[in-house]
Amino acid sequence: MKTHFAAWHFLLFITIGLLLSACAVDTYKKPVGDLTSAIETSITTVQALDKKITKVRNERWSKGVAEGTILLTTVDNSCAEQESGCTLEIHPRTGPPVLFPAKSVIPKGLVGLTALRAYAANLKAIVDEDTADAVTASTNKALGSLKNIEKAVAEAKGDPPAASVINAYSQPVASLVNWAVGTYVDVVKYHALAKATRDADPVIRKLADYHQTLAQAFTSYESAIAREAFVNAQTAFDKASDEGSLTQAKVNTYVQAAAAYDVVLKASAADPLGAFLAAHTKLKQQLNREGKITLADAFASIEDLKQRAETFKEIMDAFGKAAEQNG
Amino acid sequence: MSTIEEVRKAFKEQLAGIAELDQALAAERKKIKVMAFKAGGGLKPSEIARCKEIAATRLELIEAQKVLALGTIDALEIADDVDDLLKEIGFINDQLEDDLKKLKTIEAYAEKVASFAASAEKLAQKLVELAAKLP
Repeated sequence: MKTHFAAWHFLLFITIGLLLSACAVDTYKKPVGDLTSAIETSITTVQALDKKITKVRNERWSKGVAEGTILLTTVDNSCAEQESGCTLEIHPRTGPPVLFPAKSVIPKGLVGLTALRAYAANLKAIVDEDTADAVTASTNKALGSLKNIEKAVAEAKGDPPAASVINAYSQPVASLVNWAVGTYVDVVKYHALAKATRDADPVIRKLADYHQTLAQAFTSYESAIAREAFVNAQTAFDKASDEGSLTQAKVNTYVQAAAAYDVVLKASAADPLGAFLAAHTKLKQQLNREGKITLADAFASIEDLKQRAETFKEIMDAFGKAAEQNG
Repeated sequence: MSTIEEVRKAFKEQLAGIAELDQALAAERKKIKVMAFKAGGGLKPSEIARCKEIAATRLELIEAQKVLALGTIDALEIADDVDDLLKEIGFINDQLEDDLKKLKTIEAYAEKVASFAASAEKLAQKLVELAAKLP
Protein backbone atom coordinates (compact mmCIF):
# COMPACT_ATOMS: atom_id res chain seq x y z
CA MET A 1 0.00 0.00 0.00
CA LYS A 2 2.79 2.30 1.02
CA THR A 3 4.70 1.38 -2.19
CA HIS A 4 1.64 2.14 -4.33
CA PHE A 5 1.18 5.52 -2.66
CA ALA A 6 4.85 6.35 -3.26
CA ALA A 7 4.57 5.30 -6.92
CA TRP A 8 1.44 7.44 -7.47
CA HIS A 9 3.07 10.35 -5.69
CA PHE A 10 6.12 9.97 -7.89
CA LEU A 11 4.04 9.78 -11.07
CA LEU A 12 1.99 12.82 -10.06
CA PHE A 13 5.19 14.76 -9.43
CA ILE A 14 6.55 13.72 -12.83
CA THR A 15 3.32 14.67 -14.62
CA ILE A 16 3.16 18.11 -13.00
CA GLY A 17 6.83 18.60 -13.83
CA LEU A 18 6.24 17.66 -17.44
CA LEU A 19 3.23 19.95 -17.74
CA LEU A 20 5.10 22.86 -16.20
CA SER A 21 8.16 22.45 -18.36
CA ALA A 22 6.09 21.94 -21.50
CA CYS A 23 4.18 25.20 -21.14
CA ALA A 24 7.08 27.50 -20.23
CA VAL A 25 8.95 28.29 -23.43
CA ASP A 26 6.17 26.96 -25.65
CA THR A 27 4.17 30.02 -24.55
CA TYR A 28 6.57 32.16 -26.57
CA LYS A 29 6.17 30.14 -29.77
CA LYS A 30 3.31 32.13 -31.28
CA PRO A 31 4.46 35.65 -30.33
CA VAL A 32 8.06 35.00 -31.40
CA GLY A 33 6.68 33.50 -34.62
CA ASP A 34 4.54 36.64 -35.08
CA LEU A 35 7.58 38.84 -34.41
CA THR A 36 9.46 36.99 -37.17
CA SER A 37 6.64 37.17 -39.70
CA ALA A 38 5.99 40.86 -38.94
CA ILE A 39 9.62 41.80 -39.52
CA GLU A 40 9.55 39.71 -42.71
CA THR A 41 6.50 41.66 -43.94
CA SER A 42 8.19 44.99 -43.16
CA ILE A 43 11.40 43.90 -44.91
CA THR A 44 9.46 42.92 -48.04
CA THR A 45 7.78 46.33 -48.04
CA VAL A 46 11.06 48.22 -47.54
CA GLN A 47 12.69 46.17 -50.32
CA ALA A 48 9.83 47.06 -52.68
CA LEU A 49 10.20 50.74 -51.71
CA ASP A 50 13.96 50.52 -52.25
CA LYS A 51 13.39 49.28 -55.81
CA LYS A 52 11.05 52.18 -56.53
CA ILE A 53 13.31 54.83 -55.00
CA THR A 54 16.41 53.36 -56.66
CA LYS A 55 14.68 53.78 -60.04
CA VAL A 56 13.84 57.40 -59.18
CA ARG A 57 17.38 57.97 -57.85
CA ASN A 58 18.96 56.67 -61.06
CA GLU A 59 16.65 58.87 -63.14
CA ARG A 60 17.58 61.96 -61.10
CA TRP A 61 21.30 61.18 -61.30
CA SER A 62 20.97 60.62 -65.03
CA LYS A 63 19.25 64.00 -65.35
CA GLY A 64 22.00 65.61 -63.26
CA VAL A 65 24.64 64.10 -65.53
CA ALA A 66 22.80 65.44 -68.59
CA GLU A 67 22.57 68.90 -66.99
CA GLY A 68 26.25 68.83 -66.00
CA THR A 69 25.68 69.04 -62.23
CA ILE A 70 26.91 65.47 -61.66
CA LEU A 71 30.09 63.92 -63.09
CA LEU A 72 29.91 60.45 -64.66
CA THR A 73 33.18 58.50 -64.83
CA THR A 74 34.44 54.95 -65.02
CA VAL A 75 35.30 53.11 -61.79
CA ASP A 76 39.06 52.72 -61.08
CA ASN A 77 40.62 49.67 -62.80
CA SER A 78 37.65 49.13 -65.05
CA CYS A 79 36.53 49.70 -68.66
CA ALA A 80 39.97 48.95 -70.19
CA GLU A 81 41.40 45.92 -71.93
CA GLN A 82 42.19 42.97 -69.63
CA GLU A 83 40.20 44.54 -66.78
CA SER A 84 37.56 42.37 -65.10
CA GLY A 85 34.64 44.57 -66.16
CA CYS A 86 33.33 47.97 -67.09
CA THR A 87 31.46 49.90 -64.44
CA LEU A 88 30.49 53.54 -64.13
CA GLU A 89 30.20 55.79 -61.11
CA ILE A 90 28.77 59.21 -60.50
CA HIS A 91 30.41 61.96 -58.48
CA PRO A 92 27.95 64.32 -56.80
CA ARG A 93 29.22 67.78 -55.75
CA THR A 94 29.24 66.54 -52.16
CA GLY A 95 29.64 63.00 -50.84
CA PRO A 96 31.53 59.97 -52.09
CA PRO A 97 31.18 58.50 -55.62
CA VAL A 98 28.37 56.03 -56.15
CA LEU A 99 28.08 53.15 -58.64
CA PHE A 100 25.79 54.01 -61.53
CA PRO A 101 23.19 52.78 -62.21
CA ALA A 102 22.67 51.87 -58.57
CA LYS A 103 21.05 48.51 -57.79
CA SER A 104 19.88 49.72 -54.40
CA VAL A 105 20.00 53.07 -52.64
CA ILE A 106 20.37 51.29 -49.32
CA PRO A 107 22.92 48.46 -49.70
CA LYS A 108 23.95 48.78 -46.03
CA GLY A 109 20.34 49.22 -45.01
CA LEU A 110 19.54 45.92 -46.70
CA VAL A 111 22.42 44.24 -44.84
CA GLY A 112 20.96 45.59 -41.60
CA LEU A 113 17.49 44.33 -42.52
CA THR A 114 18.91 40.90 -43.34
CA ALA A 115 20.65 40.86 -39.94
CA LEU A 116 17.39 41.88 -38.26
CA ARG A 117 15.60 39.07 -40.11
CA ALA A 118 18.32 36.61 -39.01
CA TYR A 119 17.98 37.81 -35.40
CA ALA A 120 14.22 37.21 -35.39
CA ALA A 121 14.72 33.85 -37.14
CA ASN A 122 17.33 32.82 -34.54
CA LEU A 123 14.96 33.66 -31.69
CA LYS A 124 12.31 31.57 -33.42
CA ALA A 125 14.73 28.68 -33.99
CA ILE A 126 15.50 28.57 -30.27
CA VAL A 127 11.84 28.59 -29.30
CA ASP A 128 10.98 25.98 -31.95
CA GLU A 129 13.97 23.70 -31.28
CA ASP A 130 12.55 20.25 -30.48
CA THR A 131 15.50 19.00 -28.40
CA ALA A 132 13.26 17.61 -25.64
CA ASP A 133 11.24 15.59 -28.18
CA ALA A 134 14.40 14.26 -29.81
CA VAL A 135 15.77 13.26 -26.40
CA THR A 136 12.49 11.51 -25.54
CA ALA A 137 12.74 9.46 -28.74
CA SER A 138 16.35 8.53 -27.96
CA THR A 139 15.50 7.61 -24.36
CA ASN A 140 12.67 5.35 -25.49
CA LYS A 141 15.01 3.76 -28.04
CA ALA A 142 17.66 3.15 -25.35
CA LEU A 143 15.10 1.64 -22.97
CA GLY A 144 13.83 -0.61 -25.76
CA SER A 145 17.37 -1.89 -26.27
CA LEU A 146 17.83 -2.47 -22.54
CA LYS A 147 14.68 -4.60 -22.45
CA ASN A 148 16.04 -6.76 -25.27
CA ILE A 149 19.42 -7.12 -23.52
CA GLU A 150 17.66 -8.23 -20.36
CA LYS A 151 15.67 -10.80 -22.37
CA ALA A 152 18.80 -12.07 -24.18
CA VAL A 153 20.73 -12.42 -20.92
CA ALA A 154 17.85 -14.32 -19.31
CA GLU A 155 17.70 -16.66 -22.32
CA ALA A 156 21.47 -17.24 -22.18
CA LYS A 157 21.23 -18.10 -18.54
CA GLY A 158 18.39 -20.47 -19.32
CA ASP A 159 16.12 -18.62 -16.87
CA PRO A 160 12.35 -19.14 -17.28
CA PRO A 161 10.39 -16.14 -18.64
CA ALA A 162 9.75 -13.75 -15.77
CA ALA A 163 8.40 -10.24 -15.26
CA SER A 164 10.88 -7.80 -16.81
CA VAL A 165 12.60 -5.46 -14.37
CA ILE A 166 13.36 -2.98 -17.16
CA ASN A 167 9.75 -3.17 -18.28
CA ALA A 168 8.54 -2.38 -14.78
CA TYR A 169 10.77 0.68 -14.45
CA SER A 170 11.01 1.88 -18.05
CA GLN A 171 7.94 4.12 -17.86
CA PRO A 172 8.96 6.07 -14.70
CA VAL A 173 12.59 6.15 -15.85
CA ALA A 174 11.57 7.51 -19.26
CA SER A 175 9.28 10.06 -17.61
CA LEU A 176 11.99 11.15 -15.21
CA VAL A 177 14.59 11.50 -17.96
CA ASN A 178 12.13 13.36 -20.19
CA TRP A 179 11.06 15.65 -17.40
CA ALA A 180 14.66 16.43 -16.41
CA VAL A 181 15.71 17.02 -20.00
CA GLY A 182 12.54 19.00 -20.78
CA THR A 183 13.10 21.26 -17.77
CA TYR A 184 16.79 21.67 -18.53
CA VAL A 185 16.12 22.43 -22.20
CA ASP A 186 13.47 24.97 -21.20
CA VAL A 187 15.92 26.67 -18.83
CA VAL A 188 18.57 26.77 -21.58
CA LYS A 189 16.03 28.14 -24.08
CA TYR A 190 14.63 30.69 -21.64
CA HIS A 191 18.08 31.96 -20.67
CA ALA A 192 19.12 32.12 -24.32
CA LEU A 193 16.04 34.22 -25.15
CA ALA A 194 16.39 36.46 -22.10
CA LYS A 195 20.12 37.02 -22.68
CA ALA A 196 19.74 37.56 -26.42
CA THR A 197 16.97 40.14 -26.05
CA ARG A 198 18.88 41.88 -23.23
CA ASP A 199 22.21 41.97 -25.11
CA ALA A 200 20.53 42.90 -28.38
CA ASP A 201 18.40 45.69 -26.89
CA PRO A 202 20.78 48.64 -27.46
CA VAL A 203 21.68 47.36 -30.94
CA ILE A 204 18.05 46.68 -31.87
CA ARG A 205 17.19 50.16 -30.58
CA LYS A 206 19.77 51.75 -32.92
CA LEU A 207 18.97 49.43 -35.80
CA ALA A 208 15.23 50.08 -35.44
CA ASP A 209 15.97 53.83 -35.28
CA TYR A 210 18.02 53.51 -38.44
CA HIS A 211 15.38 51.55 -40.36
CA GLN A 212 12.55 53.60 -38.95
CA THR A 213 14.20 56.76 -40.32
CA LEU A 214 14.87 54.95 -43.58
CA ALA A 215 11.22 53.86 -43.88
CA GLN A 216 10.11 57.40 -42.99
CA ALA A 217 12.37 58.86 -45.68
CA PHE A 218 10.92 56.38 -48.18
CA THR A 219 7.31 57.14 -47.26
CA SER A 220 8.16 60.85 -47.16
CA TYR A 221 9.30 60.60 -50.78
CA GLU A 222 6.16 58.68 -51.73
CA SER A 223 4.11 61.25 -49.86
CA ALA A 224 5.76 64.06 -51.84
CA ILE A 225 4.86 62.27 -55.10
CA ALA A 226 1.24 61.82 -53.98
CA ARG A 227 1.02 65.45 -52.80
CA GLU A 228 2.43 66.65 -56.12
CA ALA A 229 -0.36 64.82 -57.98
CA PHE A 230 -2.87 66.21 -55.49
CA VAL A 231 -1.71 69.86 -55.75
CA ASN A 232 -1.63 69.62 -59.56
CA ALA A 233 -5.16 68.17 -59.61
CA GLN A 234 -6.28 70.88 -57.19
CA THR A 235 -4.75 73.60 -59.36
CA ALA A 236 -6.50 72.22 -62.47
CA PHE A 237 -9.73 72.10 -60.49
CA ASP A 238 -9.27 75.73 -59.32
CA LYS A 239 -8.47 76.94 -62.82
CA ALA A 240 -11.56 75.27 -64.30
CA SER A 241 -13.66 76.54 -61.41
CA ASP A 242 -12.43 80.15 -61.84
CA GLU A 243 -13.02 79.98 -65.57
CA GLY A 244 -16.46 78.39 -65.18
CA SER A 245 -15.39 75.29 -67.14
CA LEU A 246 -15.55 72.74 -64.35
CA THR A 247 -16.45 69.25 -65.59
CA GLN A 248 -17.30 66.01 -63.76
CA ALA A 249 -14.03 64.49 -65.02
CA LYS A 250 -11.98 67.26 -63.35
CA VAL A 251 -13.90 66.83 -60.10
CA ASN A 252 -13.23 63.07 -60.24
CA THR A 253 -9.49 63.57 -60.88
CA TYR A 254 -9.28 65.89 -57.86
CA VAL A 255 -11.17 63.40 -55.64
CA GLN A 256 -8.97 60.47 -56.82
CA ALA A 257 -5.76 62.41 -56.14
CA ALA A 258 -7.03 63.18 -52.63
CA ALA A 259 -7.76 59.46 -52.07
CA ALA A 260 -4.25 58.44 -53.24
CA TYR A 261 -2.65 61.07 -50.99
CA ASP A 262 -4.79 59.87 -48.07
CA VAL A 263 -3.44 56.31 -48.56
CA VAL A 264 0.20 57.45 -48.33
CA LEU A 265 -0.38 59.67 -45.30
CA LYS A 266 -1.87 56.65 -43.50
CA ALA A 267 1.21 54.52 -44.38
CA SER A 268 3.43 56.97 -42.48
CA ALA A 269 1.28 56.49 -39.39
CA ALA A 270 1.66 52.66 -39.52
CA ASP A 271 5.35 52.92 -38.54
CA PRO A 272 6.08 49.16 -38.37
CA LEU A 273 9.75 49.54 -37.37
CA GLY A 274 8.83 51.79 -34.47
CA ALA A 275 6.34 49.10 -33.45
CA PHE A 276 9.06 46.44 -33.79
CA LEU A 277 11.22 48.33 -31.32
CA ALA A 278 8.31 48.68 -28.86
CA ALA A 279 7.48 44.95 -29.15
CA HIS A 280 11.10 43.87 -28.74
CA THR A 281 11.57 46.14 -25.70
CA LYS A 282 8.51 44.66 -23.97
CA LEU A 283 9.56 41.10 -24.80
CA LYS A 284 13.02 41.80 -23.37
CA GLN A 285 11.52 43.36 -20.22
CA GLN A 286 9.18 40.42 -19.72
CA LEU A 287 11.87 37.78 -20.27
CA ASN A 288 14.27 39.58 -17.94
CA ARG A 289 11.62 40.40 -15.33
CA GLU A 290 12.19 44.14 -15.69
CA GLY A 291 9.49 46.47 -14.39
CA LYS A 292 5.89 45.32 -14.36
CA ILE A 293 5.64 44.16 -17.96
CA THR A 294 3.47 41.05 -18.13
CA LEU A 295 3.46 38.34 -20.76
CA ALA A 296 0.12 39.72 -21.97
CA ASP A 297 1.67 43.23 -22.41
CA ALA A 298 4.55 41.84 -24.45
CA PHE A 299 2.26 39.70 -26.62
CA ALA A 300 -0.17 42.59 -27.19
CA SER A 301 2.73 44.72 -28.35
CA ILE A 302 3.81 42.00 -30.81
CA GLU A 303 0.22 41.71 -32.06
CA ASP A 304 0.22 45.51 -32.60
CA LEU A 305 3.48 45.20 -34.55
CA LYS A 306 2.03 42.40 -36.71
CA GLN A 307 -1.00 44.52 -37.57
CA ARG A 308 1.07 47.62 -38.30
CA ALA A 309 3.45 45.67 -40.54
CA GLU A 310 0.51 44.29 -42.49
CA THR A 311 -1.17 47.71 -42.68
CA PHE A 312 2.09 49.29 -43.89
CA LYS A 313 2.41 46.65 -46.61
CA GLU A 314 -1.25 46.88 -47.67
CA ILE A 315 -1.12 50.69 -47.82
CA MET A 316 2.11 50.81 -49.81
CA ASP A 317 0.76 48.13 -52.20
CA ALA A 318 -2.48 50.09 -52.58
CA PHE A 319 -0.58 53.32 -53.26
CA GLY A 320 1.60 51.54 -55.83
CA LYS A 321 -1.55 50.40 -57.66
CA ALA A 322 -3.21 53.84 -57.37
CA ALA A 323 -0.07 55.54 -58.67
CA GLU A 324 0.05 53.11 -61.62
CA GLN A 325 -3.61 53.79 -62.44
CA ASN A 326 -3.08 57.57 -62.25
CA GLY A 327 -0.11 57.17 -64.57
CA MET B 1 29.70 62.76 -41.85
CA SER B 2 27.10 62.33 -39.13
CA THR B 3 25.76 59.66 -36.83
CA ILE B 4 22.45 57.88 -37.42
CA GLU B 5 20.96 59.87 -34.54
CA GLU B 6 22.08 63.18 -36.05
CA VAL B 7 20.69 62.22 -39.47
CA ARG B 8 17.40 61.17 -37.89
CA LYS B 9 17.15 64.41 -35.90
CA ALA B 10 17.94 66.61 -38.88
CA PHE B 11 15.43 64.74 -41.06
CA LYS B 12 12.65 65.08 -38.47
CA GLU B 13 13.32 68.79 -37.91
CA GLN B 14 13.43 69.67 -41.60
CA LEU B 15 10.39 67.54 -42.42
CA ALA B 16 8.49 69.17 -39.57
CA GLY B 17 9.39 72.60 -40.99
CA ILE B 18 8.13 71.62 -44.44
CA ALA B 19 4.95 70.13 -42.96
CA GLU B 20 4.23 73.25 -40.89
CA LEU B 21 4.53 75.51 -43.92
CA ASP B 22 2.53 73.16 -46.16
CA GLN B 23 -0.27 72.90 -43.61
CA ALA B 24 -0.39 76.71 -43.26
CA LEU B 25 -0.60 77.13 -47.06
CA ALA B 26 -3.34 74.47 -47.36
CA ALA B 27 -5.31 76.19 -44.58
CA GLU B 28 -4.91 79.63 -46.20
CA ARG B 29 -6.16 78.30 -49.57
CA LYS B 30 -9.19 76.72 -47.91
CA LYS B 31 -9.97 79.96 -46.03
CA ILE B 32 -9.89 82.02 -49.26
CA LYS B 33 -12.19 79.50 -51.03
CA VAL B 34 -14.71 79.19 -48.18
CA MET B 35 -14.91 82.96 -47.56
CA ALA B 36 -15.50 83.67 -51.26
CA PHE B 37 -18.17 80.95 -51.49
CA LYS B 38 -19.98 82.22 -48.36
CA ALA B 39 -19.85 85.77 -49.71
CA GLY B 40 -21.79 84.40 -52.69
CA GLY B 41 -19.30 85.27 -55.39
CA GLY B 42 -16.27 83.98 -57.21
CA LEU B 43 -12.69 84.70 -56.24
CA LYS B 44 -11.28 88.17 -56.77
CA PRO B 45 -8.29 88.40 -59.15
CA SER B 46 -6.01 88.99 -56.14
CA GLU B 47 -7.35 85.86 -54.46
CA ILE B 48 -6.90 83.80 -57.65
CA ALA B 49 -3.31 85.03 -57.83
CA ARG B 50 -2.75 84.16 -54.17
CA CYS B 51 -4.11 80.62 -54.70
CA LYS B 52 -1.73 80.19 -57.63
CA GLU B 53 1.15 81.38 -55.47
CA ILE B 54 0.13 78.94 -52.76
CA ALA B 55 0.11 76.04 -55.25
CA ALA B 56 3.51 77.07 -56.63
CA THR B 57 5.01 77.32 -53.13
CA ARG B 58 3.56 73.92 -52.23
CA LEU B 59 5.20 72.41 -55.33
CA GLU B 60 8.53 73.96 -54.26
CA LEU B 61 8.09 72.42 -50.83
CA ILE B 62 7.35 69.06 -52.47
CA GLU B 63 10.64 69.26 -54.37
CA ALA B 64 12.43 70.18 -51.14
CA GLN B 65 10.82 67.17 -49.46
CA LYS B 66 11.98 64.84 -52.25
CA VAL B 67 15.53 66.16 -51.96
CA LEU B 68 15.37 65.82 -48.16
CA ALA B 69 14.11 62.20 -48.40
CA LEU B 70 16.79 61.14 -50.89
CA GLY B 71 19.49 63.05 -49.00
CA THR B 72 18.46 61.33 -45.77
CA ILE B 73 18.63 57.89 -47.41
CA ASP B 74 22.15 58.71 -48.68
CA ALA B 75 23.23 60.12 -45.30
CA LEU B 76 22.01 57.01 -43.47
CA GLU B 77 24.03 54.80 -45.80
CA ILE B 78 27.24 56.64 -44.98
CA ALA B 79 26.52 57.42 -41.31
CA ASP B 80 29.58 57.17 -39.04
CA ASP B 81 28.17 54.39 -36.85
CA VAL B 82 26.37 52.22 -39.41
CA ASP B 83 29.25 49.78 -39.94
CA ASP B 84 29.71 49.27 -36.18
CA LEU B 85 25.99 48.67 -35.84
CA LEU B 86 26.03 45.98 -38.51
CA LYS B 87 28.99 44.31 -36.77
CA GLU B 88 27.18 44.38 -33.41
CA ILE B 89 24.00 42.77 -34.73
CA GLY B 90 26.19 40.17 -36.49
CA PHE B 91 27.84 39.36 -33.15
CA ILE B 92 24.44 38.92 -31.45
CA ASN B 93 23.32 36.57 -34.21
CA ASP B 94 26.51 34.53 -33.74
CA GLN B 95 25.73 34.19 -30.02
CA LEU B 96 22.20 33.02 -30.78
CA GLU B 97 23.53 30.45 -33.23
CA ASP B 98 25.88 29.18 -30.48
CA ASP B 99 22.91 28.79 -28.13
CA LEU B 100 21.13 26.77 -30.77
CA LYS B 101 24.20 24.54 -31.15
CA LYS B 102 24.17 24.01 -27.35
CA LEU B 103 20.60 22.71 -27.59
CA LYS B 104 21.63 20.41 -30.42
CA THR B 105 24.47 19.05 -28.23
CA ILE B 106 21.97 17.86 -25.62
CA GLU B 107 20.12 16.10 -28.43
CA ALA B 108 23.37 14.54 -29.67
CA TYR B 109 24.22 13.15 -26.22
CA ALA B 110 20.85 11.42 -25.99
CA GLU B 111 21.40 9.95 -29.44
CA LYS B 112 24.81 8.65 -28.35
CA VAL B 113 23.27 6.92 -25.29
CA ALA B 114 20.61 5.35 -27.53
CA SER B 115 23.15 4.15 -30.03
CA PHE B 116 25.37 2.74 -27.23
CA ALA B 117 22.37 0.81 -25.87
CA ALA B 118 21.62 -0.48 -29.37
CA SER B 119 25.23 -1.70 -29.74
CA ALA B 120 25.09 -3.37 -26.35
CA GLU B 121 21.85 -5.07 -27.41
CA LYS B 122 23.54 -6.49 -30.52
CA LEU B 123 26.51 -7.65 -28.43
CA ALA B 124 24.22 -9.42 -25.95
CA GLN B 125 22.47 -11.22 -28.80
CA LYS B 126 25.84 -12.32 -30.21
CA LEU B 127 26.87 -13.64 -26.81
CA VAL B 128 23.61 -15.59 -26.55
CA GLU B 129 24.23 -17.09 -29.99
CA LEU B 130 27.80 -18.02 -29.05
CA ALA B 131 26.68 -19.53 -25.75
CA ALA B 132 24.15 -21.68 -27.60
CA LYS B 133 26.90 -23.09 -29.83
CA LEU B 134 29.07 -24.13 -26.90
CA PRO B 135 29.04 -27.87 -26.18
